[in-house]
Amino acid sequence: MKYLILLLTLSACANVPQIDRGHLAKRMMSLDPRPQENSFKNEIRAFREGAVGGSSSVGGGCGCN
Amino acid sequence: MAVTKFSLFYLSVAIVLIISQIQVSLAEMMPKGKTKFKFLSNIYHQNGNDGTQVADNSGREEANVFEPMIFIETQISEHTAINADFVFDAWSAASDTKLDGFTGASGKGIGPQTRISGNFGLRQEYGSTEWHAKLGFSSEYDYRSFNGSVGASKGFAQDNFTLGLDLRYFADAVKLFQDITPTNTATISDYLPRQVLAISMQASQILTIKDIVQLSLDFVRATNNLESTASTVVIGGVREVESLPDSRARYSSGIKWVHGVGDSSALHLAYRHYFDQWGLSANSISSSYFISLRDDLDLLEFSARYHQQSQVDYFAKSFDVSHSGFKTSDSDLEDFDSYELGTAYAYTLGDQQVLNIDLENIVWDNGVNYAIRSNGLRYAYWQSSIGFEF
Repeated sequence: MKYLILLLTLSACANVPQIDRGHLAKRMMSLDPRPQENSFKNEIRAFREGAVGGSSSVGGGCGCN
Repeated sequence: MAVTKFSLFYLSVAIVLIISQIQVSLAEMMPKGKTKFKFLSNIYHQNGNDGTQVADNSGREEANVFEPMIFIETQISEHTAINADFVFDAWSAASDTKLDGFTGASGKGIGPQTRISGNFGLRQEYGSTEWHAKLGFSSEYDYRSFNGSVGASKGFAQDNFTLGLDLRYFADAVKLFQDITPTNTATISDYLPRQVLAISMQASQILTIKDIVQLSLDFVRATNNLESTASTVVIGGVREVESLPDSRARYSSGIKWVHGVGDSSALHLAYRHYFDQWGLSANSISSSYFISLRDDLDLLEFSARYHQQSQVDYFAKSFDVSHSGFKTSDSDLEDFDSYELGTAYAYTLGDQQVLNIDLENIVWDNGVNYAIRSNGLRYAYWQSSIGFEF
């Protein structure tokens, strides 16, 4: 429930018009500026830490034993 | 229990289908006929002498991995792109040589092992709605997987708020050692089934012209044969294979904040909390500082990450003969703190003609990371990629 409230709160934030999003369009402002590189990082963390989740690596073998 | 599992599954499918029907996402589409290509090479090394799961009591956890990856996406129509990625792994692990007198799981003689995997996907975008689907496979000597995923995202309020949902299912199979006494004649099973269902949800909100925040929730349920192939335990001085429950429900939630600092740098801060059915809980904090160079052509990154986790309920470094129930000595399931530092530089080469093919926006990206854990493991990896469009 607390996440739902948080989501609704976020969705009620003031809007930034598209014409003002020039800075947000830069690569450094992307939520994941290096997605392919991070897929390997997530793979390592998924198998070297007992805390998988929040990444794309949840199955499919690890290549690491 | 079965009713609960199937209800959850069908509810997830229904939600994904409903969002897909709304027909909407924000992933950037290319002009029709355009193709993106990226080759990424990963070289990984780890070492440590405290792995209590290693069969010969040495604790040695040295491993070396070479993992090249290829990513391709082609825009086949105004609204549709198809994509594929391929991964090839080659690795050697010191602990592999301690079981069955050969390479542990491989049984093919001492030497590197290999894995291949591939994914094939489709992505469509209409206005502020996007949906995507993928089918994939992975194959190595002691593990194979067939998997599929479907997901969608939709932008609201002129794309200031974006909501995404993904559902993934893995029909995997694993070979496990059955009898390791003595270890040099250990016997391995045939493929045993393992299933993984993962549901994830992300929501992002643009806060200001220089701030965006993302929330994420993940649920992962793994069932059947969840032991690791080469992990062993000591029971009354004798090595045996580990034993773990046939079900593990895992939950994580995270928040990420991206803040523009001036005109040419950005700070990324993220926190994730995790807990699961086996009693493990974890907290991870990460930060990255990006600096945009040469009029936004190049990107320099400095990153740091701290991860802390508790051990699973079934972990111990050794067990008494009287112990009954599940047991593991896997150092990845132990309590530890982990510290990681990294840096990367993406250099734009621009447009060039190679073999009479006009390649656009060529980017060469290199990065290194180093991590150390409080339970003895250290690892480092180097990533180098070249990407372009044509």
